[in-house]
This record gives sequence, structure tokens and C-alpha cells, in this order.
Amino acid sequence: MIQIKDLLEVLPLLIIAFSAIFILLLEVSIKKSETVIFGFSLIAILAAIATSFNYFNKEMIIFNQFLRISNASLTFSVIILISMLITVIASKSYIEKENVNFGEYYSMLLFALMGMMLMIFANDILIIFIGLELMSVCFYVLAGFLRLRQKSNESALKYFLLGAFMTGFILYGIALIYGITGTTNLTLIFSDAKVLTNYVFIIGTALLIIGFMFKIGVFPFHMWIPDVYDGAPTVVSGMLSTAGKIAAVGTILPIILAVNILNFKIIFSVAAVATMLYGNVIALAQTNIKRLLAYSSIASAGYIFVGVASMNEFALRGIAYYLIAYTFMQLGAFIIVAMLEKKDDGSRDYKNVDLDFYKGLGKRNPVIATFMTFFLFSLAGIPPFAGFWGKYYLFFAAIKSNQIWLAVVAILLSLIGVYYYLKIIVYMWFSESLEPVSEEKFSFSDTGFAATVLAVIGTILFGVDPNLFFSLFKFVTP
Amino acid sequence: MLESYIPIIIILIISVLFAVVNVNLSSLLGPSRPNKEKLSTYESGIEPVGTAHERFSVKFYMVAVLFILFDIEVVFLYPWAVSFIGLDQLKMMYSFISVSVFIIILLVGYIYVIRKGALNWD
Amino acid sequence: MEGYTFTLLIPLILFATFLLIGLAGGKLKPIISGITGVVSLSVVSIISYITAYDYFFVNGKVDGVFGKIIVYDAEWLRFTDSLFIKMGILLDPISVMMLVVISTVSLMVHIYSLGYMHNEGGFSRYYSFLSLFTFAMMGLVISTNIFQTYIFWELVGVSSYLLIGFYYNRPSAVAAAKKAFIVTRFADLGFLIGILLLSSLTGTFDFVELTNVNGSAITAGSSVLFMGLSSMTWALILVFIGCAGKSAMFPLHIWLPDAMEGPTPVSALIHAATMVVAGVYLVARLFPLYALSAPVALEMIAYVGAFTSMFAAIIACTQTDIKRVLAFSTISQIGIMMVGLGVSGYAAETGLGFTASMFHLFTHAMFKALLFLGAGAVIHAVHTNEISGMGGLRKYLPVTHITFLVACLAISGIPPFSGFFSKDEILVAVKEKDSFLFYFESIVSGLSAFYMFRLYFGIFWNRNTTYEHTPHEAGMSMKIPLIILAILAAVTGFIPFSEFVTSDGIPFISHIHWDIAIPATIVGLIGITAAFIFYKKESDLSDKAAASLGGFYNTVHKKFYIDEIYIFVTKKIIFNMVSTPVAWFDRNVVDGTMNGIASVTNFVSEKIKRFQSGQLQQYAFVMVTGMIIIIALIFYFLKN
Repeated sequence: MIQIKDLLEVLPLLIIAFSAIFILLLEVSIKKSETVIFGFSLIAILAAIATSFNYFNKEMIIFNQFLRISNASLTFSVIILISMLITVIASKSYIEKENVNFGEYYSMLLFALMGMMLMIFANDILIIFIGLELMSVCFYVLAGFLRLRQKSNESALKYFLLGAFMTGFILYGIALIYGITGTTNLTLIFSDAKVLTNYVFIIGTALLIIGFMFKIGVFPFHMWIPDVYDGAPTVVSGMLSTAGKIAAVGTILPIILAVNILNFKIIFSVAAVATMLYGNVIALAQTNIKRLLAYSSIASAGYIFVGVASMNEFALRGIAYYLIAYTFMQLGAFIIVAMLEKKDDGSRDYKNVDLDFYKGLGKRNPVIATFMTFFLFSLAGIPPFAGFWGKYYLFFAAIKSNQIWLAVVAILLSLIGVYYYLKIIVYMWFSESLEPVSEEKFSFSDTGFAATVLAVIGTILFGVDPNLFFSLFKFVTP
Repeated sequence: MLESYIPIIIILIISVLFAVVNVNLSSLLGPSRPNKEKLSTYESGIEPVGTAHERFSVKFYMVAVLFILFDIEVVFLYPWAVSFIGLDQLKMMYSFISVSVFIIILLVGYIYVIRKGALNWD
Repeated sequence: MEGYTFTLLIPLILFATFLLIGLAGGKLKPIISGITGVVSLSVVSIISYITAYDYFFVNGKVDGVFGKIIVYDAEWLRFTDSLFIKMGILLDPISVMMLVVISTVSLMVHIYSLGYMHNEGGFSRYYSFLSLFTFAMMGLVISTNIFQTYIFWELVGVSSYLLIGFYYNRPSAVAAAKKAFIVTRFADLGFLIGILLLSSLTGTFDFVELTNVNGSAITAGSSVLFMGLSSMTWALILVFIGCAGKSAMFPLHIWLPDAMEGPTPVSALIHAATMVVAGVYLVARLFPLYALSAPVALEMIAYVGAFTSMFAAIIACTQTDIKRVLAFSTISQIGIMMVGLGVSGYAAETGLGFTASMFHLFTHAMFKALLFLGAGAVIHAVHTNEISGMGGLRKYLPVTHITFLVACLAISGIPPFSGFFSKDEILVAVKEKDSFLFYFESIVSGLSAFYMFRLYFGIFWNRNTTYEHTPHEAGMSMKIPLIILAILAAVTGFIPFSEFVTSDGIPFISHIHWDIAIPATIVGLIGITAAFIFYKKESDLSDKAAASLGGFYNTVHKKFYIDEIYIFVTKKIIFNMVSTPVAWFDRNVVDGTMNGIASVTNFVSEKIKRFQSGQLQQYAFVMVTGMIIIIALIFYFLKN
């Protein structure tokens, strides 16, 4: 039986769940409720972040062993909450601009958030699956939220079809695991050392991991990413590429580390290299900034998998650090793209998302260009921005696990990344503007601006003081 | 272990056979005298126009989906209701609260559906 | 220790001022930037004085020893468990003394600049750079570890680059800024290698651990020999190369005279009182290491210092640009400080040289800042740097005249002015160690009296030059700093320095050694008399003397052709013989390869872009294929 006090232990999750449901009621009971809902979601997320910090250093398994609270899962959930916070702030202006200012949008975000947190805290494969579905269904809807845009519809449909396809494999994997162990409880599964070497069990776990590799966007399961990120509303793309990935990484990482299939390190390494190679190389040829960021997010998945392939105590630190850095820089870049996008005029495609549009941005809009430069520098891994330390800790983990070749390859491949990030910077500052300088009116009342400022602060803060992160999230020095 | 599945398999076979045999039996046993009128689509005497693969209004789907949704939720309530009586006091209270939470969530969804006018036909 | 946390405000206020003026400066009225700078510096000065008072008179002394107090030390960067870098504040006699020196001189310069710079463009830029520089300098002196020192050391270099090149539309200023930066950077290479070597030998960056006499750092690396010297000695010599770059020791002194292209108050702040003594400061900071584990390095410092002091003093006698004379005089005086350190022993009275050197650093900061600011006032009045364009100015600039005279007397070592006391202590220390160096330095001392009074007579007496505009005294903002500094230059000699600043923190009482002081004063007076004879009245005596020296005079006047040698070595030998072929190789072979790789990558990128067709069936196909391959791989690995 579930203890009542268990409810207190998952307060952040409850806050989000309650708010998501409550927003539905708000939506139908107040007229012009969008602003109220916006404020309410912000408060809910902030409250969830604030309460999360109570549970650090209290490892526990609760709710009939369905949930497990640990420092790692809390860290990932806080990073997701931060990502969601920035997304929500940026969304307000964006959905107004796109004429889809509905309260359900925020409800969807919060339901997705709830799914992600459920997944991360899960100690039972079924709970993972429920969380995953809750998240995915919301994502499908969000990707197609611009109902009148063909691209958005296409994106949602593609995402849904491929996602559903992969869900099948995940379920198959779960079934195999259950068939061998007779339980879905992760603690019980991993407590039996004999099971861990069973063929069927390994295949089941592999299918489970592959399902999550799809969500993270690791080669060869990355194909959906460019199409979906390109078509989805830009702020949502930012959210998908940060929160969505973090949730998947945060869920599967403990499983990979617990199964500890050291023999298969090489598979992860190869997947990591292939992903980095694919993402970075194809990004070179992109002319659309949303697609470029999508490929850069594939490359980032590759960096994350460098950490996964390390499978040592440094991996978790490195991945967590990279993810928070990635949240700020990637989301920030997407939000800037969203801000610069042209207002909805009934067209089928997004306007002002070509790289050419960014030529001369530094003259037209120096503040935004400066911020974009920060994010791109960070993505390229140039100190003193957070992205540098993210990569540093990841590659460090690889070196510590005696995979020096992997670290070297990763560094070389990230050099390709530097090229296309710098290309945008050069466009912004050193190219002649193709647009008339005065045409663009940018207002600081755009909530996207506030979100970008938050992201910039994060990018710089964690870049200047890398230890802040570890002390904030109570990491123990290994 | 597999023996316990035998009854299920038997039921499966019987149900499939029942359906297949019955459908085919009627066409086998019944007289078959087709003519042009009989073969045409039955449209209450009106001449059939256009294709049968019409696009339906989304409202149909809406109602269907909502029906399935709430229907399935109600299915959950049956086993609960059946086992509810047999529980001791504490567990009774506990299970009552659990189901209340479940119903409330369902209720919120229902209110949302109604207020959004998803069931209005116009 | 709790009591000193307020010292954190010193760097914070300065940095905030830099950001404020730097970012908002363009929008403010220039005078507001200036006043902001002055106010913030005043606050910083007051905090420094309180710190100094508290340290020297109230809390600093524990059991009769001035200890090292770590006010604050936070981990800044952690690379691994054993390798991390901290940032913090360390208070000990020399750092507290430097706080006082820097804040005082910087405050004077800030006030002075209100008047001196007010007609120039870029007033806000100027003040923000001044704040940045002061911040960097403060950060340097309060460093708790050598890596922090290095970071601020470079920051000092950058801000001095910015200030020297302040008149960025004047090519000579730009060239001078570049030269200063490159030469000191070159020296810093030695410094960085020294730091790395030092820390790998001792396993720490921390000053407290490095200079702990009973600690392991002192003996570390003494057994590993390289070319006859222990590796610790090598490390310390490398560190000293960095110091020599910043403190303009021969042969790395070439940037300092050129750096006079910067605004004169900047020269007073950077090239007289603060930055150039950073090298002396760093040697003093690591003094226990030098004294106890590398006496050879210390001896080297003494001889480099002595040579530099003589060398620069000789050149100073022939220069005609008054700021250049002061620049060479600075080089010479810093050389004397280095000699003081070089001859010093560790602990108690054998450490007199250390105390004397710090004492001289202190008094020198006051009178040399005064000289520069006075020179600035003169230049401000007559609009030229050349001594030939001046003369008879005592009537027009009475305040400048008197204060300049005080400074000249101080630097010449005439009692009771401050320079007398500090120079006397250095000479006493030198005499005990090495009588050759003693006579050598006495001559330098006489020379410095000569060239200073050559300057003094040349500016304020000599012929009665007629001026296009009648020179007039500058405003109050320029006069007040001159007067304050003059008072300081006159009286600071009476501070019983050995009771505060000693090599091991244990105070002792020092006396004036009249047997040395009197001859030294006489030497100074001889120098002054010589200058009096040559330059008091307009005469051709000096020209005749120059003519009789012939080629030697020319060589000296051209600064021994050191600059030309540098140009020859860098341009002719390095650029032509080494750089050109390397550049060719780089451009054609290395870049060619790189460009080749880049274009191949781009090509591949364009080709495989089509792989992403947008068709779901294909995506699903790729995914399933990938999955099958992965499962197959797993089976393969399980088999093995």
C-alpha cells in the first residue's frame, strides 16, 4: 500500500501533474485565460524547481517501489524543469505571433513535463513506458500545434509514425525482459546477476536502449530529427531537442550503467562516432538554420554518447554537465530563431529561417546577434562558455575509461562543428545585410528576450564557474 | 506451464470457428439468385451516388474516441467495485480515495470536453 | 581570518567601476566618468588604509611575527583532484604595503588626470582602463597562489597595452603598445614555464605552502641537476625572466622608454610606481624560495640588477626627452631594488636587503610618481617633451618647480628626503655582502643625482626660453596631487620600515649607518654640483663635454644600439631566415592540407545530404537495418 507520506516525497511531480490538469479547468472556466495560464505554469515550474532541492542526498525507493529518487534523477529532472521554464517563457510571444494562443499549449507542455519526470524517477519499466508515452503523445501534438502550417502537420505525422514504430520495439524489449525475469521492477531485475548474462535478457535490454536511442537521436535512429525539428514550431523544436533528449538520457543512463554491458562499450563508441560524424558533416551543407540546429543536436547526441560509452563514474558528471550547458545554448539558439521568425501570414512554411537572413544581423540587431554569438560559441565549445566545460568533462570521462581514441576522434569531429557555428557568426557580423536595415522592428517586450537572457546567464555562469554546477547538484568528487 | 494456456487456445479456436462457420454457412445453405437490383448498394431505394469512401466529419471520430475513452475508464471500475466489499476498513478507505482521485481526473477531462463543446453536434 | 573580509571589496569595487564606466561610459558626460573613477578609488584607498592600519598596528602581529593571513580563498577551477586553481586574498606585510602604494598613487593619478586629460577624447575609455589596470594590479598583489598572480599579471599586461596605446591614432603609440606587449609576453613565456616547473616540483601553486620555510617546497627539486644547477634554481630563474620583462631589466628593458608614448599620468601610474615593480614584488613574494633553495638565482638577480642600474643611469644622462630620462631613471632605480633583493639573506638582520628593497620600492613609488606628474605638468604647460624647448620655467610654474625639486632631492638621496633613507639601507646591505657592488651602486647613485638635476636645471633654470603661449600653472586637480606626493616624498623616509616589512615577518630595528650615509650623500652632492656646473646657466659646457666623448656619447645617446640589435635579430635573422620559410610551409603545405580536408568534407556533406530524403519508409528502413546490425553485433560479442 502506498504511504501518504510518499506523496510528499514526490512533491515536484505532484505540482506539475496537478497544474497540468488544473490548467484544463482554467482554460474552460475563464475567458481570455491565456495570460493567467502562462503565469500559472511559470509558478508551477518554479515551485517544482524550488521543491526539488529538498530531496538531494536522500536516496530512496517509494510508491510500492515504483519510483526511485536519487541525486542523478533529481539533477536530470531539474535540468528538464529549467529547460521547460525557459521554453514556457519564450512560448508566450511565439504562440501569440503564430496565432495559436491557446491555453492547451501550456497544458501540453506540462503534461509532457510530467511524463518526462515520471520516466526519470521510474523504478519500474512499466512506469517508464507510461511516462514515455505521456511525453511522446504530448510531443506529437506540440509538433503539429501550428495546425494551418503544412510543415508543422508533416512534422507531427512523421514524428508520430516513427515514434509509434519505435514504441513497438520498446514494448517488445520490455516483454522480453519481463519474460526472463518475471518482474518489471528495476531493482529486482538488476539484483539477479545471473539474469544479466542471459541472451534473451540482453536482447530485450538492447531493444529498450535502442528505443531510447531513437528519442535521443543517435545514429542510425536519428533520421526523424531534421524533419521534425524543421517543421515543428520553433520554440517546440528547442524544447524537443533539449528537454526531450535529457529525459531520454536521464532514463536510460542508469539502466545502461546498471546492466553494465562492458563488452558492448565498443558498440556505443561506434554509435557515438557515427552520430557525431553524421551530424557535424551534414550540418555543413545546411542552408536553413532550423535544420542546421537539428543536425547540431544530432552531433550533440553523439557527444552525449561519448559519455555513455565511457561507462565510468565520470560519465554521469560529464553527461549531466553537458546537458545543462546544452539546455542553455541550444534552447537559447532556437529561441532566437523563433524571435526572428516572421509573423504568421498564412503561409505554409516558416519565413526568415534561412542562413542568408542572418547576414548582417550584427548591424540590424546587435543585442540579439551578440546573444546568438554567445550561444554559438558555447555550442562550438569555446571557453569561457558552458559548452566548453560540457565537452571537457565528457571527453575527460572517455579518456579516463581508456578510450583515448574516442576522445581524440570526438575532438576532431567537434572541430567540424566549430566551422559551421563560426560560419553563422561570420554571417552575422561580417557579411553585408541582404535585408534593409530598418525594416526589422524588435521589441524587448517579446518574452523570448527574457528567455534568451536567462539562457545567456546560464551559458556564461556555468562557463565561468564550472564547480557551481557540481556543488549545486551535490555531486561527489569521484 | 503451457498447459494452463490450453483452455484459452480452445476458446480462441471455438470463437474463430464460430464466426467463420456461421458466415460461410449462411451463404452455403441459403439460396443464391442475384440480379442487378440486388447487387447494387442498399441506399434505402435511392440511387447510389459517388464512392463509398466518403470523408466523414471529424465529429464522428470525436464522439467515437471520447466514447472509447470513457468506456474503458469505466471498465476499470468493475473489478474495483467487485473487490471493494471484501476489503477491511482501512483498505476500503484507501481504495475509495484512490478511485476518487481517478474519477476526479476523469471528471476534469469530462468537464473540459463538455465546455469545449466537443460533443455539440452543430 | 574573519576580520578582513572587507578587503574583498577592493577588487570588487574596482572591477565594478571598470564595468560601469566601460559599459555606460559612452553615454555619460566625460566628467562624470572621471568623478566616478576618483570616488571609487578614494573608497578603495580608504579600505586599503584601514587594512594597513589594522594589519600593522592591531591584528597583524601574532607573537611578534607578521604572519600571512588568508582572507578568502575559493576554488575557481578544478581540473582534477590534485590540480586546481584558487582565487583569493592574501595579506602579509608586502601585499598590504603594495595595497597602500597602489591605491595612493592610483588615486593621485585619477585626480591628476581630471585636469590633465580633460581636453582629450575618450575620457571615459581612459578612466575605465585606469580602473581595469588598478583592479588587475590589486588582484596581482593580493594573490594567494602563483597561478592567480599569472592571470592578473597578464591582465596587467593587457591593460597597460590599452593605456600605452591610448592615442591609438598615433602610429608611434600603437607601435610602442605593441612593443611593450610583445616584449613582456615573450618574458612571460619564461614565467609560465617557470610556474609549471615550480608547481611540478613542489606540487602546489600556493604561496603559503611555497614559502613555508619548514615546508617541503623549499627542498623540492634541489637534487635534480640540469646543466650544473638544481631544477629549482632553473624554475626560479625562469620566473625571474618574467619579472625581468615586467620590471624592464636588461636586456628586456627596451619597451619601457617607448611606453612613454602613453598619456603622462599613465606613465606615472604604470611605468613608475606599480606595474614595473611587479617583478620586484614577485621576487619578494617568493623570497624564501630564492634565498633558501636557489642562492645562485638570487646572485644572478643582484648582478642583472646592478648592471641594469648602471646601464640605464648612463643612458639617462644623454636623453633629451624628459619622459625618457625618467623612464631610464626608473629602470635604473628598479635595478637598485633588484640589487637590494639579490644581496639579501633570509631572516632577521641579514634580511636587511629585502627590507631596504621594499622600502625603496615604497619611497620610489612616491617620488617617481611625483616626477612623472611634475613632468606632465611641464609638458602640459609648454606642449613639448624635449628638454631643449624648456628653460627658466621656475617663474611660471612655482608649484611644479618646488615639488619637482623635492622629488629630485629625494631620488638623489639627500637627507632628510625619503630616498636618502631607503637608498642608504640598500647600500648598507650591499656593503655587507659585496664591496664591489657597493662601489658600483654608489656610482649609480651619483649618476642618478646628476641626471635628475640635469633635468631639473634644464627645465626650470638654464636659458630664458621665450614661449609662444605664456606657460601657466595647471588647475587645482593637478596641483593637489603634486603637493600631496611632494609631502609624501619628503616624509615617508622617516617610517621605520624594518619594524613592519621584513623577509621573515619578524620586525627588527635598523639604524642609519652614518659611515655609509655620509659618503653616499657626498656622492649625490657631487652629482648635483656637476649638473649645476653644466646646466644651471645656458652654456656650451655640456655640448663640449659631449663632443669630447665623441663616439661613446653617441653610442650612449642611441641607448647602446640595443633596439637596433633587437631589430636586426628579429627582422634579419628570425623573420628572414626562419619565419619566411616556415610561413611558406604553413601557407602551402599545412593550409593546403587543411583546405583540402575542408573542401572534401563540404563535398561529402553535399553528397550525403540527399540521404535525408524526407521519406518515412526510408527512415524506418534505416532504423530497422541499424537495429538488426546492432543485435547482430551483440550476438557477435556474446559469442566471443
